[in-house]
Amino acid sequence: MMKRVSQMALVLAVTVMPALAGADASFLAPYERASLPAINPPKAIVEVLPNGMRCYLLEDHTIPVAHVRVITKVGTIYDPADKAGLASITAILMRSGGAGELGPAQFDAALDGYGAVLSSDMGSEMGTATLESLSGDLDNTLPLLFEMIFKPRLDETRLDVAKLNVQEALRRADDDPEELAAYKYRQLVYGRQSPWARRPDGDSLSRIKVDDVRAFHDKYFKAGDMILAAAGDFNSREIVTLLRRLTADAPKGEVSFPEVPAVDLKFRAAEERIARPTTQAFVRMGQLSIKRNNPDKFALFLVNEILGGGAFKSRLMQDIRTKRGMVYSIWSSVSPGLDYGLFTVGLATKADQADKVMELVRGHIEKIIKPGDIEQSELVYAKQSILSGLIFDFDRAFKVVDGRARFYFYGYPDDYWKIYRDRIVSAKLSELSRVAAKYLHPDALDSLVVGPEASGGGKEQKKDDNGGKGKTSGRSGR
Amino acid sequence: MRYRVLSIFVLLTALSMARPSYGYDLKKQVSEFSLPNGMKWLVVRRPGAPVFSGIVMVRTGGADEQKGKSGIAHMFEHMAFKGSSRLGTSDWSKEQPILEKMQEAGDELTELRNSKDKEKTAELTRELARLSHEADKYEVKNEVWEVMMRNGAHDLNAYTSKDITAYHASMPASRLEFWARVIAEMVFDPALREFYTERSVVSEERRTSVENSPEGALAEKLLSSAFKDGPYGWSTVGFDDDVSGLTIADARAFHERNYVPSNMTGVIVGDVTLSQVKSVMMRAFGRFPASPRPQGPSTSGTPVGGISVKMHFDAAPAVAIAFHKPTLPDKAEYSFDVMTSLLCDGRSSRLEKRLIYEEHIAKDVYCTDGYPGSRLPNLFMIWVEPLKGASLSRIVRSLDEELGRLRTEPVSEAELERVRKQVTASFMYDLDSNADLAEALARFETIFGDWKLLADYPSRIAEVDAAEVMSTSNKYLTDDNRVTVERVK
Repeated sequence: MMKRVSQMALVLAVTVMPALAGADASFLAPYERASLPAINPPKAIVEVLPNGMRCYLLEDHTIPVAHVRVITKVGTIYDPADKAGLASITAILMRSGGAGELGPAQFDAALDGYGAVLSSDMGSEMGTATLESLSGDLDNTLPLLFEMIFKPRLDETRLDVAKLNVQEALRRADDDPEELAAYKYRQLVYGRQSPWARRPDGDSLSRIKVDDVRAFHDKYFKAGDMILAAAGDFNSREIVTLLRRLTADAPKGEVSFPEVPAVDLKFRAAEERIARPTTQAFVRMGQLSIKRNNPDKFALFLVNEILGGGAFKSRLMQDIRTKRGMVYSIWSSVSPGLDYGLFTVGLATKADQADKVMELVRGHIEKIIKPGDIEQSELVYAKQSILSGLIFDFDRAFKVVDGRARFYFYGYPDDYWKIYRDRIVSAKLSELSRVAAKYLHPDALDSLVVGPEASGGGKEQKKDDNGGKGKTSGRSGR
Repeated sequence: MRYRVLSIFVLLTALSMARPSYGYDLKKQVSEFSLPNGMKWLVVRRPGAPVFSGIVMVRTGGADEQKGKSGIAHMFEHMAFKGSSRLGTSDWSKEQPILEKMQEAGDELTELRNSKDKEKTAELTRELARLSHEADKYEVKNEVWEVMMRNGAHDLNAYTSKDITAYHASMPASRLEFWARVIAEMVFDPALREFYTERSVVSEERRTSVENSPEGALAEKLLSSAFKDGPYGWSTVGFDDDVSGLTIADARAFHERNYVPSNMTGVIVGDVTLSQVKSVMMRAFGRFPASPRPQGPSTSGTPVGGISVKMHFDAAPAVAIAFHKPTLPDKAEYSFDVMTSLLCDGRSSRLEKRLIYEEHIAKDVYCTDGYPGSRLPNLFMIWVEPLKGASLSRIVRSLDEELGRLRTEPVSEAELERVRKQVTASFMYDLDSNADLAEALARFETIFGDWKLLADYPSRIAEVDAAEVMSTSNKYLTDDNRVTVERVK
């Protein structure tokens, strides 16, 4: 432990890098000398309710607000194959369809009356319900949160509205070249029917009835599977008492999760072009990447940071934006998942230079996987950037408890952030070389381009495509 | 029966908060001081986590641009990140003369961009490329990012609006002076290197955010229809032709005029002390000379009203309806804020409830006032995305009815209380984040000249009564004050 901490201090202490810093930036040296604050996140109170719900609580009396989130193991990957969209619709209707004794309009009015904000969201493997409330109103707003989760009315008229809205959102996604590129790329890599890329359509939505939503809700929303994170201006003991009362008759019991077909680890070098009369080409290039529990992920995060995850000093940014002015936005990301995640490069560029930019990107990936290509100074800088900013994972009480809840959800130990930190600190150049070569395959990149038909010329069989997104960094998640 | 009971309950609870005492007095939290050169600073001490959020906001933006040179404010923001005579170079004594020659060639090339003298432009292009290659030897690209990121900068970025340009970052507490020194380099001694390449980057940005964006395109059309011959009439990113015509001389002139200490506000929120901030800012910013604050523009443009415009874009339809309105110190500002909340804040708001949940004709509806800026007379805007099958005229009919209600029916006290509560609550939620609080304080101080207006904001909103809403509606929500833009395929 001590050795690791002092290793980190060593990494962070190497502040002025002759290879990277201009000689004239030395005027800043005196202001970089003070050590960076140690990370000492406040300790959350952990309480497991009788129904099995695990709660992380942290008091913070700075402002009279409270922030509460409930995480449930549920997601779009559990949609029945013929009812794509069921999970999302369930989340929407839980919020929108009234709860407890309140019809939909009354429920909405009650929340607005307190100035409270309540949302219900569905990800691929995680559903979240989030409440923001003035602390003085928590006695009234917390019940609304739990009624939404455990006693949603799922009003049928609101179901119709939800379906119309979802369909409209799907329709409009195709109008936005960035959104279009993003989802088409996922479908290209995973396959259109994959639970990790599947999208609802008019047919699948029309098959979703209120009974389906009810059944889906009742199947997955059980207290024992839930994790709660709460921070703010409350008294922990009082909150626990309130939570016990509000979840006293919450449904318990085991949830049996359907088997989700495993992702087939294949690299197809597939290409797809989608014609749109845009002046820019929007590009995604990438392929399947690692799983969350892969011990190589830390080294791969660092490779990604150097390649295109690390804001302006990344190789992609420095070359293609700063030096050449060919893009506004370019980034790379590695997102490990429950199953194989994705390695992605995203960008948008003037349509007639799309081919050229894609070639440059490929060149950068080919280069970075060469043994010995990454320099020590790049590795040090990547580590410094990540480690020196780690404190911001804990700068607000809610982040502390939300982080704990997510670690638990992913099956990580309580102090996972320390493992992350230590693995970043201790990563060696040889490790980065090894994982770059192992997990990045520039000759087998899938590519998806949204742009005018004639962009980039294209070769015989392959159509060159470029698509992108307005981000400047794709720092990897955990 | 139940519904009646509930609505009374809500009313009673809300009424008991009639004068919101939200248990947090922002005024007591903020300390202020000014440097001798006129730069104003605000400090809020929050010793929780060992971090701080800092922002420097310059009271200049798109509103200060001239016709034909749109985009210079935003372009300058990009340039600030290219560093100074000390940051971003390995040898300024060698780099500077090259940059001067580049400016000569590049600015001349820019002036000639529409000329027929192909030989001359080719020659200048070659010269510029040669000089750029030379300058490269002494440039340390993106050094601002580099030094900030390795010292723990979080959410390092800048933005330009019509009203202001802001540079912000959160950092570990032990980097306060570091942050200050870097920001000072950026805003007071920009080297304007890589200017011509950056113009291409901005052109790409415009392609993404305006030309190929259904929202951006509609917004641009709305502004150009609503304001003639004035800076609110164009997008902040600028027209493509204008951006291609920007020169380093333009950037320098813009900087000299607007980036003066008396035209800036700095705010620090976090684990700092007032005395620490005072001495650091004096050292980092105190040496820059005082300069008179530039005159702001006198007009946002000639307001055009009573028009309805149709534009074509290959996307599902949308409609924007806007009304011209004054800005502070006119009290109508607060009435409009109330109207914005009344119509669009929350699912029980009048427009969301009606268009989305009752009539099933809209997917989304947004309201905003202070569009595109608040320093000058601006717009109150409603934006609706219809569901398939609902025509834009159907949407507009419902909107017209709701706007008519505002003119003819006094708003109920229950609804006003809902608005007051929501405003109070979201005010509180914003205070939670150091960065959000710093930004809000900077905004009120820079745009309205008084950060205390932020602290007073919920009370001012609470003072707006039904009569005021009605008279403001009657005065401004009129046909000849209105601009409608429909975007269709």
